[in-house]
Amino acid sequence: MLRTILKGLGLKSTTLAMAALAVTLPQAPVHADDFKVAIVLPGVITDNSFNQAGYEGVERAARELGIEFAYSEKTAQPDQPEALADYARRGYNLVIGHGGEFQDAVDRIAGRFPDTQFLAVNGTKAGGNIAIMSFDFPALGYVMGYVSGKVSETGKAGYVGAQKLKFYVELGEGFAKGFTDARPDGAVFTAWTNDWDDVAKGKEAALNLIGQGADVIFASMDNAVVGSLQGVKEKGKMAIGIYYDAIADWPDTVIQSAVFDMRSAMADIITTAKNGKLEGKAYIYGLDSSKATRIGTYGPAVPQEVQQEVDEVIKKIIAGQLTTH
Amino acid sequence: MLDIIRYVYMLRPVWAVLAALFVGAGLIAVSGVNPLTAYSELFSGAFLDYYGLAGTLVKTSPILLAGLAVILPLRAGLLNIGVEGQIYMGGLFSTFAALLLPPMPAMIHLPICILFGALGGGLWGLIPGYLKALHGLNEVIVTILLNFIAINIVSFVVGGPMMQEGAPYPYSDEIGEQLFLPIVLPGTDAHIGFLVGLVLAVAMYFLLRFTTTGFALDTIGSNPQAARYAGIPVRRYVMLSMFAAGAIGGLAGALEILGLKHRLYHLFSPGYGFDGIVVAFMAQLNPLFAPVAAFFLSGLKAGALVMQRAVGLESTVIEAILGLVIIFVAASLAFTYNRTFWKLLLERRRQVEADLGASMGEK
Amino acid sequence: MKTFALQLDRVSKVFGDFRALNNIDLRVVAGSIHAILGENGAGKTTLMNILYGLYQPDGGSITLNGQPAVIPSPSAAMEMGIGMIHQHFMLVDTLTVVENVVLGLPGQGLQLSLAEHAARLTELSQTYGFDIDPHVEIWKLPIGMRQRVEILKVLYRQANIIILDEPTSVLAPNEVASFLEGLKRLRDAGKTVIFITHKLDEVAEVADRITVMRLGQVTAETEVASITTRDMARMMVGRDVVLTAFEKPDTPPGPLRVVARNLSAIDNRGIQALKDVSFEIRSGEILGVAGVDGNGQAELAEVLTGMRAPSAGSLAVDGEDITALSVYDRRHRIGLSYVPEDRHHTGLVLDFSVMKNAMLRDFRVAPFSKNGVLDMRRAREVTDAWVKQFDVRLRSVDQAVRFLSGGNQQKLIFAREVECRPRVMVVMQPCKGLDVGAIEVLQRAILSERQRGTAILYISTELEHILNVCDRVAVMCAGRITGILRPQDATDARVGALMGGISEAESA
Repeated sequence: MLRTILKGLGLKSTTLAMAALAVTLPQAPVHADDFKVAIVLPGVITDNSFNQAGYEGVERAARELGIEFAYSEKTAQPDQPEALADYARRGYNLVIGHGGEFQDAVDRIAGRFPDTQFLAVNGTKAGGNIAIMSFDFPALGYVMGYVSGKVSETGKAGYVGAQKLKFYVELGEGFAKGFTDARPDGAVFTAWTNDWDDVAKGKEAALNLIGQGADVIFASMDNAVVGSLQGVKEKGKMAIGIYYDAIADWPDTVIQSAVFDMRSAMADIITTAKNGKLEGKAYIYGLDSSKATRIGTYGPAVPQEVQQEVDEVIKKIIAGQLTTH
Repeated sequence: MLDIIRYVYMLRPVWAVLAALFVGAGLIAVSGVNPLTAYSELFSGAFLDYYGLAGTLVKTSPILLAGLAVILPLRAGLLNIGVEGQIYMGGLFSTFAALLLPPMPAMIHLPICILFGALGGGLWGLIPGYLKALHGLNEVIVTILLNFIAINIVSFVVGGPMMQEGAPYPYSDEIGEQLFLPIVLPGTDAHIGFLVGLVLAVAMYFLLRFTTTGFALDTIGSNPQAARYAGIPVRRYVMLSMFAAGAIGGLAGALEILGLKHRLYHLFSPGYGFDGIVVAFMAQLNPLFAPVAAFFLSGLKAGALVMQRAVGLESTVIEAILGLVIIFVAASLAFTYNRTFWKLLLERRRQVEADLGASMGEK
Repeated sequence: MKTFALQLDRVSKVFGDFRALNNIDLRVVAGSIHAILGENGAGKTTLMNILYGLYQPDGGSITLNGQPAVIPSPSAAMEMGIGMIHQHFMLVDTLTVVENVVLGLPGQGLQLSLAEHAARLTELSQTYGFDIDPHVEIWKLPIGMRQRVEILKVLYRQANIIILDEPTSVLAPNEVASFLEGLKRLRDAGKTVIFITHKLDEVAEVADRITVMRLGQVTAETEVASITTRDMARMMVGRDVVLTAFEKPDTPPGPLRVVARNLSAIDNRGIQALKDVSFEIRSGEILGVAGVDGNGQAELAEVLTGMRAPSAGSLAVDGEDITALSVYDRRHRIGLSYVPEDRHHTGLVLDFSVMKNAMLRDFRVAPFSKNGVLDMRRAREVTDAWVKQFDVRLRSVDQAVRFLSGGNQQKLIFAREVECRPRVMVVMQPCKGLDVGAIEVLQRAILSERQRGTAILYISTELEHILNVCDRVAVMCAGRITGILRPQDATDARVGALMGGISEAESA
């Protein structure tokens, strides 16, 4: 309030003291809603990837719902339980641990704060005041595999992951199943690089799989995906994008993308929590919640009739008529 | 008066920290937060609040042990930059012992897990010790390189062979609940690790101060040629002190696993080994000061996080402040107490005062 | 009236409670050799460090060429034309002569034309009759040559006043004469030389004028021609000093104690430094080892004490083969003592207190420790006793040994190495850089050990010292023992021939 008044008077708070004074005033939101949300992130909120998506999701939800939020970035592992607990103590109603490594931390402290709701993104175990949130990785993996199987010339595809984490294993399994369902004589090779961000390793792995005959590559690391896509582009093969509609950056290479929209999912789950509807269960965003989990834009290599077939497959998955892994 | 000045010198790391915080206040103010609010959150969050204190103690355990693992070989003139790696190997070995050994009573199993951790770190520390003693390889370079190897070995193990089935993050299975270390402050994570460090610090103080082993180590550190002359087996002591330092580092890793994480994680130590170097220098290589330095540094780190949460500072500002503290402390140690200089200064001052007094009297 | 190149009036310097210099007056005539004579700890080095700008005086004034001067730093001293050659050389061993000379030379841009410097250096070196190859690395040079490099360094910087701190203490006897010649040439070229020493004969030989110092004060300043060496000694020490040989008690040597057979060893550079050396020492006998420095004496001492493994040969004490024993076992089981040549780097830990240095040899056994735990109380008692007995002058046994003068440091080492009641003692260059008073104390200590029945190997480059105390004299050249003589047979001519490598049949 005061800040607005100062601005109105034309007094730009140029001096440090003034700035300090202004900010020490409680930053109470205009909306008199006392629901507060906090997110603890393992990395920085400007990583253009997982952490940024999580932060922006919370930020967007808070803005839309008019609620207060706080975040801690770059929280090292040993500090994570304490960070979650501290927010709970400070009266935050929903405390989010952003990443699978928070499962343990949430398990440990949730019992101490029965009135607080905890959310472990990519967690594996829900219950009580712990909710977990993830995407239906195998379903979208299946769809990507199905597309790939239909357009592959060699009948072989490659999946590149960083570490054998549950979700990425399932993503690869879904991809393989979709591929072989579309092409019963096909085969999918898998490579694990043990590194999420090493571009050179990502490229090397992709080239290796191409060398084994694969002509569609699906890479699921973080920054290292760029390396895989470069390799695919150099060899003139096809690739599947991940997280966002990657065809914008790789128009000649990407034939389809597995879009997992963390921002939409996060906004959705915070809305649920604010409405008091959040339960201690797994919130898995599948193809039925098309805001969060959806396919991207087709590349020119995918014929119209294949696209219609894929639409049918998606409908079947949503209807539960298809097992994806 | 001289005594007072000498104490002022002895406490110079403290002044350095205060100066660093003062400069840091500028950074905080620039990012639009009242530095006083921020710092009061920091200190109350780190030391005065029950849970905050617990958070500080959780960090004190590995940081103190890491500090001791730096102090011991440094007394013999060896700079152990490899504590980080030793922590990882300690964690790895104690997890092996916790998960792979056949079931047995916790009374036996827990000490075995701790010993395994110490052994793993010790062997990891023995590598640079051996290479230094018998092949003259620079221990600084070797230990730095071994850090990367150890961290990656742990990443490999928990991302592959020992990874928990269906884990959302690279980590091993949880160790049995009977192996969890006792908690000191109920309702928090503050386990007995820092007490282990405290006991070890006192023991190390006595070792270095009152035993022939300490005498030998100090001799090697001050003048290795004279140590050889005195019949001290220099090579053996080099290897021994690096093994012991590694074992202490390994102990830090083992206590992290058994006391806090309860399973082996990918990247479970955020650089505690390097914090140990800061502690060693803050404590001026005296093991008795190490607990104070470690507690303070841990408080600063834990408090900084509280400060971030309480007033919403960016992590970069927090890191810059911690960096300032380290640089200021390191720089402060360059000032050594020069008795003669101060004495002369005081004498001159008295002289001037006397002269002044005399001339006043004349008027 | 004479022009004084340098004049000091009532200069004082205080370290803590210790008054190192007390109202020093000094007048140095331009173009002369001026000797400053004094015992260790008389304040000579402190005085020179003031002249070189390393210390600032706490009182008094300095006048340089008739102008009042303040010398704030060594580089300022250099600019004023004052050059200093320290007792311990300030050279980088791995660099060449010319690189050392150019190092730190002001006015060098980014480009260093070493060839040009080397040519000028060669010219300079010929002017003064120094025969130095500018491209050889320092570590390859013998000590005497290194000293010439130091002198060249200051000459190259156009010094007019050259200060030398104990320059001959590091030289072999045969190097001293040519060094003194060099000083005369410097004087004849118009340079002023200030020459700190405690060796009376050198002063008598080259100096024009002399200032004698004792306990931080000047006791005399006079023309050398007007004073006898005996007077100089008295003014220096404050009492009459016996410069003649000791009366050696004529005790017959005991049974064979040390037997060395065909010892060979490789030095740090990988060169064979010790070749097929054999000798015996009886209980109660002192075997002197003479020779020009660097002819294998250091390696011999190290092989004997276990600090260097021999490449061939054997060593036995009282019939027990100790060739493979560790330093520790030799010291504690065999009872071997060692006074090393290099006090600062080997014999002492300079940063340790006097007490801890006293404990250095025997800290693992009683009375200094029990079951691995140090007994500081007993150690203090023992140290106090030794300090009294050997007349080690200090403020406190807790004082760092670094701040003791050279003679007092050496006395402490002797106390430690003698009071452990050794059976075998190796003593190397014990009197290097010490004054007559200290030398007397140490030589008496060695003789009383002989009396007790210790077998002693006494290595020195100062033949006079050896002849003073030894029962037999072995002469070394190029890693071999070229001959063993009785003192009465050790004429300068015979020893000189053996030092030069001309072997003769053992005559003792």
